[in-house]
Parts: sequence; structure tokens; C-alpha cells
Amino acid sequence: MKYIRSTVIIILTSVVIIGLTLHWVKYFQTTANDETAGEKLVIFGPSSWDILIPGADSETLTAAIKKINKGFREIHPETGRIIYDSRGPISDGVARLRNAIIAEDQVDVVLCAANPVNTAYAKLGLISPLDDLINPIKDRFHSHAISNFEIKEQIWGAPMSAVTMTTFFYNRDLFDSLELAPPQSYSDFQDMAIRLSTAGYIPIVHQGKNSWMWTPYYFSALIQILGPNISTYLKGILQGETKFTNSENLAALQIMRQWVDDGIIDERSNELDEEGMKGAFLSGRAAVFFGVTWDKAGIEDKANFNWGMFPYPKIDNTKFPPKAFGGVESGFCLASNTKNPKLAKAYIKYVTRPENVRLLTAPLKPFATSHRKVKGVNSPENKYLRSQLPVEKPLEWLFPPELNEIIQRELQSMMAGSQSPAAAGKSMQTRFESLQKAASIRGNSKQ
Amino acid sequence: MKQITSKTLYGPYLLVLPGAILIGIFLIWPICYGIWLSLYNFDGMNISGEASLANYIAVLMDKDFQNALSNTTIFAVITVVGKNVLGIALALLASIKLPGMKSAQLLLFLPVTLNIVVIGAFWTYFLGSSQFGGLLNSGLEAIGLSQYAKSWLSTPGIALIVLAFIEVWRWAGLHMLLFLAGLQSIDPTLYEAARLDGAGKWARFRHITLPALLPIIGASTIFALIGAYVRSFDVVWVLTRAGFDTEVIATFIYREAFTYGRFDKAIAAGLILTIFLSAIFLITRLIKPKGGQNE
Repeated sequence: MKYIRSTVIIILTSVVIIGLTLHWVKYFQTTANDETAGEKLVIFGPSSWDILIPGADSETLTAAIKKINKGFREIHPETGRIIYDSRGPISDGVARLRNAIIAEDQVDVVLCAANPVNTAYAKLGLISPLDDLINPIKDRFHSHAISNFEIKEQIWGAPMSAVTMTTFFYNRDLFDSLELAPPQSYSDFQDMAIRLSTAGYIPIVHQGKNSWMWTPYYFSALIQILGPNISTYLKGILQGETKFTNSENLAALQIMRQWVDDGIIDERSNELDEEGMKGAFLSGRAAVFFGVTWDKAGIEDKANFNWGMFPYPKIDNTKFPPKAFGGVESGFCLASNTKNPKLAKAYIKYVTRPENVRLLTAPLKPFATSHRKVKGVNSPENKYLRSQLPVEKPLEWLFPPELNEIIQRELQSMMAGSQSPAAAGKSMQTRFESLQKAASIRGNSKQ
Repeated sequence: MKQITSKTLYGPYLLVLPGAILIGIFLIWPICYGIWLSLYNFDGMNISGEASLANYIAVLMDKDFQNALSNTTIFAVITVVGKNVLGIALALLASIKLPGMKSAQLLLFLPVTLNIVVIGAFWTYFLGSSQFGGLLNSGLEAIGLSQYAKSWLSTPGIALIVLAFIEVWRWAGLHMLLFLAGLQSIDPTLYEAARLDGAGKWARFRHITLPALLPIIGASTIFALIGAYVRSFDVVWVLTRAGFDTEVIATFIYREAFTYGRFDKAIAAGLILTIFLSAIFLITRLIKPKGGQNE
């Protein structure tokens, strides 16, 4: 017995040692090529979503990185190791980048999503403007792509990604079985909700627990009331010329609430986060959800039914047509503390070449990209999505984060039935004024 | 009389020195630096001017802070009472000498070992509406009590209380262990004597068990208070993202620092919380309960 036990222990220990040795050998073999004596370059992803090909499998990503690195070293042989460091949840991205900069870790290029660039990175001084790099190569990019990285007439990032937009996803098999056509008008949505509810399905499910996901509904309604004047209107609120209690805003809130009152959106959607919402959709319990085209890949992968997309409807008695929100979602930024801005800029210039953008966006089968010479992939879904272009830049970028938080919480509360649209508008205005009084909004404060 | 040499005079200080240096670097210095930073405008990256006490005034005047403080206090009251009452009840139950009690103790301690993400996923699913598969609401509907089915985690006024109950469930096992240790230290002859004097179960609990457990209740209360005021972030963030009127001070501080980039105000809020908690602990020290084995 003692002999058997000793033998088992020896065998297990040997297996562990051999396994670890093989792992280390493999690790050193794969990294040895990169470990030249040249200049190290760190490509920093604030979250695990900030990678060269978001959502791609590791094999595709590794192959693309190798090709990019090889091509870049051929032009810049002085480059040593190129480290791609993307980790953590999206919600902690700003904190991770800020901590890295405060700790004076080497960060040269930041893989940056347009949203935090507009709401945080530039304001906090985590990145540097890139006008001198972008202006000479401006013809590579669509102008709307650059505008997503433009803040106060300075360009803070080189766009490189697929275009995304807000859209409804629906269970096409379920619609076919109930002989339902994708709705086009608001009254179609009402009919659809009745038919689906009667058949025992949740018409539209939403990730209401994530309060920021109520804003697409809000702005989709507001833009049909204000049309192209929407940005001026929202800036007017910031400057005290307009108020959240004005008739236009209250009308948008009323439209939004109507979705719940008419039984189109489930009131209990506030219980769900993204996983819960997608779970309800993918399991077939819910027929529709309002998302963003970056959800396409996940649905394609997991849905065991045919699915499709349709746009936000035209609301009765509004002046302007519906519009989708979105645009180019990410790009490359220059870290404010880089010790090697020349090499970092050279990398950004290289990686945003059309042939590299084609390589990096192809796995995502985009309907459109940030680059003029990189066309979208042809498919019936992509044809529909292209018909919705141009998209409107996300309007929450106009507001400071504190005000966005207020709007999101009030919308969430209104959609749960805890307050009326008028009360939500009043509460938004009161809380905004108290913020102003405290001079606590960044940019408006003396800081 | 033993002669005092420089070795005996300085020896203890030399032994304490490495620990004191570490405490100084990792505890005292950051606190002092934090106090200093709270007197300036600091966005996490740069200091842009002197603020004096403006950050403290801004925090105290902030309605969101007042709301967070009020929510945290409600949360604290429920969790302090809940953890103590449930902890004592479970300890009494677990101290009964029956077969399988060790396994029962292990089972009761299990929630303490669970990761908060797992706890979040479980309770979100359990408390969800019936159409999303929520077990509690489905159960209520099945027994004809559908009028009591609710969006437990997304209804303002209810969500905070539900969170407090989840926190009690999560840590009750740990408090049970504290009380179990206390129960085992009570001299059994006291119960024997009381029984001979004709004391019933309730009288024995009230006059022997409870007074003997008072010091443990004090320690348990302090743990629960720290849990409520300082460590409540995870349960709130995972289950409600601090929405539906469940903002607590920990999430307020997080939001100020990491969402709005107002580190100065966040530090001031943290220091105000420290003063507030110190005052509570001072009061608990002043009204130190009489009890324990030596009383």
C-alpha cells in the first residue's frame, strides 16, 4: 500500500513538473522572437474588450497581431517587444488607464473606445491630441469617423473599427410562426406587442438594470421631436437656456413611457442586465430587444433560430424621421505619459493603413468601417444596416458624466413606473440645478 | 534589582521598529496624504489649486451623499440586528448535540465562502419576476399570493431592504461561529444551578446565555457596522448597480472618484465616513455592556 502511494505521488509530481517545463519552454519560444534589444512598445487596452479585434477568437487575434507586429518591425526595426495589455471589465476601463498613468507604467498607445475618449480620457488628460498625425492622413478616414474622436476642435484618436448603430433584434422564426411582419410604425409595434403577449411571449425585453441603456430610447424619441436641432437644444440645457421641463423634453419622456404603458416594453425590464436580457431573447421567451450592432456576433453564435433587425419606428405626431445612434466605436490614442511618442505615433500610422484595417475588421463582417477604402461585407443584414446610415453621434457625449448619471437614473425610475414623465423631467432639472449650484460639474467648476 | 542597560531600554523598540515602519508607510502616510489631498482640487491626476474645506462642505451639502448616508444607516440597522439575531439563533441551533450537526454548521457557513458574483447571480435569478424564471415570485404565484410578487431588486424602497437581508444571509454563518465560540465558553454548571432553581429555557437564555454573550455581541456589532458602512459596496454594486435608491456611501465614493473623476470629494467623503464611524465606535465603547464570564 505504502509502495503504491509513493509511486502515485512520484508519477503525479513528474507529470506536473513535465507539464510546467513544457509550458515554460513554449512560452519562451513564443516570446523569444519579440525579445530583441530594441525599444519596447506597450499597446494598452483599458478593458478586455479593447483589443485589436473585439469579439474575435484567440487564434484569429494572435494571427492578426503577429502579422501587424511583423509588418511594423519591417518598417521600424528599432522596435523591440510589442506588448498588448488588455484586461478587466469595461466599467473599470477608465480607472485602469488612470492607475497605469499615475503609476507611471509604460503606456504608449491606448486602444480606445470613442465613448470614454469623449467622456473621460481627454478630459482627464490620459491621452494627448493627435492632430499632427491625423491631418496628413485624413483622407484614409470617413469624416464621421474622425468626428467621433473630435473634442473642442482637436482630434484625440485615430479611428479604426467597424461602424456600429442602435437597432432592434428580433426572433424571425417566431415572427414567421405568428405571421408577424417587422413593425415599421408605432402602431405596428402596438399590434405586435398584443399578438406576442397573447401568444405568451414577452414582446420587447430590455437591459434596464444598466441605467445607461435607457438613453438610446430617450434620444431616439427626442430626435424625432427636435431633428437636427437636437445638439443645440441639449447644449442649451447645459447653458441654462433650455430646461428638462420644457415641452419637447417632456414629450420625449412621454413617448418613452408610452412603450411601457402600451405593453410593448416589459416594465420589469429593470430587473435585467445585459446577460439577463440576452438570455430571455436567446431562450425564445422574449421576441425583440433593442441593442447595438456589436451584439450581432454573439447572437449569430448563440441563437438557435433565425433572427433579423429592424429600426426604431416613426412616432406619430413628431416632425422628424427616426435616426439610429452610433458610429465608429474605437480607435488608437496616444498615452499622455508615453516616453516614446515618435514610435507610438508610427505604430498608429501603420496600423490604420487600409490593408491592416481590412485584416482587423474582416472577422467582424462589418457593414461599414471607419476607412474610406475598407468597404463593408455584403449580406442582407448589412444591406439593411447600410440603408440606415448616416448615424447620429451618441448625444450623451455632450453632457458631463454627472448629468448623464442623473438622466439615466430618472429614466430608469420613470420606466419602472416609480414616477411620471413630468416628475422625471422636473427631477432632472432640479438635480441639474443643484449640481450647477455646487459648481461641481467638471469644466463648469473652477477646477 | 535588575540593571537597566541600553539593550533592555531600546531592545523592545528595535523589535517593534520593522512593523512600525511598515504601518507608517502603508497606513499612516496614505491617511495623512489623503487628508492633505482632500484640501486641494485633485482629479486623480493633477492638483489644480487649494480648496481648503470646500470639498468637505460640498460633500455634506450634497443631497446624494445625504441620501447615501441615510440608506447606509438603514442598511446598517437591518444588518446589525439581523446578523446578531440570526447569528445567535443559528449558534443555539448548531450547539444542540444531534447527529449531523457538524454538517449543518458547514452548510450554514457555506454562504460566507461564496464569491459575491455567484451570490449576485443566484439572488438575481431567485428574486426575478416569474416570466424571467424568478423562483420566489413563481412560488408566490403558484400558491395564489401573486399580489405579493414584486420586482424585489428594482423597486425603490424595497430593493435596499432586500439587499440588507441578502447581506445578513451572506454573513450570518460567520457571526454564528463567533457566538458558537461564546456559547462553548459558558460554564455548564451555571445552567445546572439555574435548572435546580427552577429556571425555564427562556429564563436560562435571558439570565445566563445572553449576559455571557454580551462581549461577543459587541464584537459582532462592530463587525456588522464595518460591513455596512465600509464593505457594502460589493453586494450593492453586483445586485442593483446602486440604482433603485440603493446608493450607499461606498458606492457614492466610488462614483465620485472613478466615474466623475472627483478624487478630492471622494477622499473628503471617505474621511467624513471615518469620523462618523469613529464616533459610533466611541459611543459603543462608552456604553460598553456589562457581561461576560467574569461579571
